[in-house]
This record gives sequence, structure tokens and C-alpha cells, in this order.
Amino acid sequence: MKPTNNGARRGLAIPIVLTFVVVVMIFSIAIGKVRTASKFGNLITFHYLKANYMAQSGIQHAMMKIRVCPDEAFEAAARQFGLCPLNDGNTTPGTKNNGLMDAFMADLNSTSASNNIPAGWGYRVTKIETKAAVRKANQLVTLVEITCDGWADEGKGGLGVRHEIVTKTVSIFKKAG
Amino acid sequence: MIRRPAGMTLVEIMLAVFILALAILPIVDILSHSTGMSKKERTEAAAANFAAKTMNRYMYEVPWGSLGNESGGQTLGSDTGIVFQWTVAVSDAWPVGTAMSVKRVAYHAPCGGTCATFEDIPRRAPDQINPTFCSRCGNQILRTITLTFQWKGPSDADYDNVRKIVLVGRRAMLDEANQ
Repeated sequence: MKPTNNGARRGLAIPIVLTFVVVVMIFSIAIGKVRTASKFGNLITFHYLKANYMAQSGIQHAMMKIRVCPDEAFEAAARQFGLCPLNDGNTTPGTKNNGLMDAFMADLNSTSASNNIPAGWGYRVTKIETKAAVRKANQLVTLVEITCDGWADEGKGGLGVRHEIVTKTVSIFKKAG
Repeated sequence: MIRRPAGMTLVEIMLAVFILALAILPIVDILSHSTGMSKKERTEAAAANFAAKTMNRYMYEVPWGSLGNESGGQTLGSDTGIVFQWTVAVSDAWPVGTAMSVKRVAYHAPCGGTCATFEDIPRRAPDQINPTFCSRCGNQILRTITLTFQWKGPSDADYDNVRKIVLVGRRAMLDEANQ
């Protein structure tokens, strides 16, 4: 009879195979997770870009209206700040009133312009806040902060509608009269 | 009598690990398609950056008067094999004759900031509100820019809908300082 060792090597095949299988499974799961996360990361970037440009569009829309209507924009900002837009040199705020600014913002949204953006996308200027307003001699000056909410529907990867908020501060200068 | 040592030696363990690694490596490679997948994802990431850069150019840099439909393409570097192509469609969003809502403070003796009487002005078109400004704009003051951006990596035969992103933005006529 062939001599054997004390039996230490017997039954080694099963642990080796089991170890091999476990290691391969761990690798597979890890690779699958990394791959999914990486692809999803790019999809999230695309989604962000779409919503962000919608929000930037709202800022452009608001700035366009400020350019077209500097008098109305100044008066809305002045009243929101608490100044009388007709009172030269008065810099002490009185009673604040949002009425004019609400009217100014009423059509600062994606649906008020020609509807040539994809369904499920859009923007809305949610707030224009006056940080400063001065009327001095024939100069009208205001500093306003525009806040716009833009959204886009990705439609891929189970992602729904993403909202992006963009804020921009602009000055309004206007020579009166 | 000399007894052989029981169990496994260090060399045997090292050999086992080496053989295991050799056996696993091709399996991992097959599972992950590691090289191809990472290139695809890198290409996507590069495309996202380049698409944003291209969109920024049309949103903020191209002069208002030069905005129009056009297409372009570019290879990313000389050795990446990544190629981009894009088309830009510009459409009208707010003609100067389209009315917008405006209100003004009703005329009154200047006060200390308590005025709350507003003129309910009917909606008016920009070319009525500010004809001087609109005369410099052409017939539009807001345009919609649609960028369709596609890319392909070194192993991609052609562009397709999987490798495509559409970005949409609106740009206002802001080239000139308000006067």
C-alpha cells in the first residue's frame, strides 16, 4: 500500500473551487456596481445640463424684459424696496410693495413665449428681489437678484424631472427723462 | 525515518494564488469588458463637457446678429479617437410685436415710499414699450437655441441615438448696454 501523509492534503479541491467561485462572484458584483454607477453618473450630468440651461433661459428672459422695460423694472424694484420711484434723492425705504414686481414677473416663464421647447421642460422666474434702489437726479439705479427655477425631464434611467435653481444679480441703470 | 512536512508550504500557497489570479484575470476581463466600457464612459464624460462648452458659446458668446442654424464637428485631441458633431437650430421665441405684461406707478406727488396706486396698463409689445431698443434688435428679442450633440468613440462605427444629447436654451438680445 502506498504510504500517505497524515491526510492534510485530502479534500483540498473543494475549498479551492469554493474560494475561486467566491472571488469571481465578488469581482462580478463589484464590476457591475462600478459600471452602473459610472453610466448613471454621466446620465445625471446630462440631466443637470438640460435643467440648468432651462434655468439660465429664465434668467435671460428676465434680463431681456429688464432691457426692454427699464422704467417698469426700476419702478417695480423701487416699490419692492420701499421707495417712491418719483421721489428724487429719497433713499430711506418706506412701505414695501410687491404689486408691481409680481406684475413684472407674471410672464417670465417658458410658456409665455413661443412654445418651442421639449415637453416636460420649462422655466419660471420665481423671485426678483431688490437689494438696492436709488433715484438721484436723473439717474435710476437698482440692484436686483433674479432667481429662476428650470426643469427638464430626462426620460432615461428611471430619472424623472430635475429642477435647477439659478440666481443672478444684475444692476439696472436708467437715465430718467 | 524522515517525515515530510504536513500541510502546504509557502511556495505552494504563492503558486496557488498565482494560478488563481491567472485564471480569474480573463474572466474579469470578459465580465467587465473593462477596456471598452471605461472608454465608452470616458467618451460620454468628455461629450458632456464639450456639449456644455458648445452650448455656452451659443448662449453667451456668438454675437446676437450671427445667431443662426449651423452645424459643426471636432475631434477631441489627436490621439483620443473621440469625435463630436453638432447641429444648432435657432427659432423665434419672442417677436418684438408680442405683448408682455407691464404696470407702472400711477402719477402722484412724490411720497416717502408709501405709494400703492398702480396704472393697470394693458399688455404692450416691446416695440411699443421701447422702440429705440427694439430698433437695434431685429424682429426678435428672445430666441430658442436647440443644440443636438452627438459623439462617437474610437470603437464606434457611427453616430446613433444612444450617443446623443439635446440641450435647449433661450437667449435674449443683451449684446448692447442699456441706454
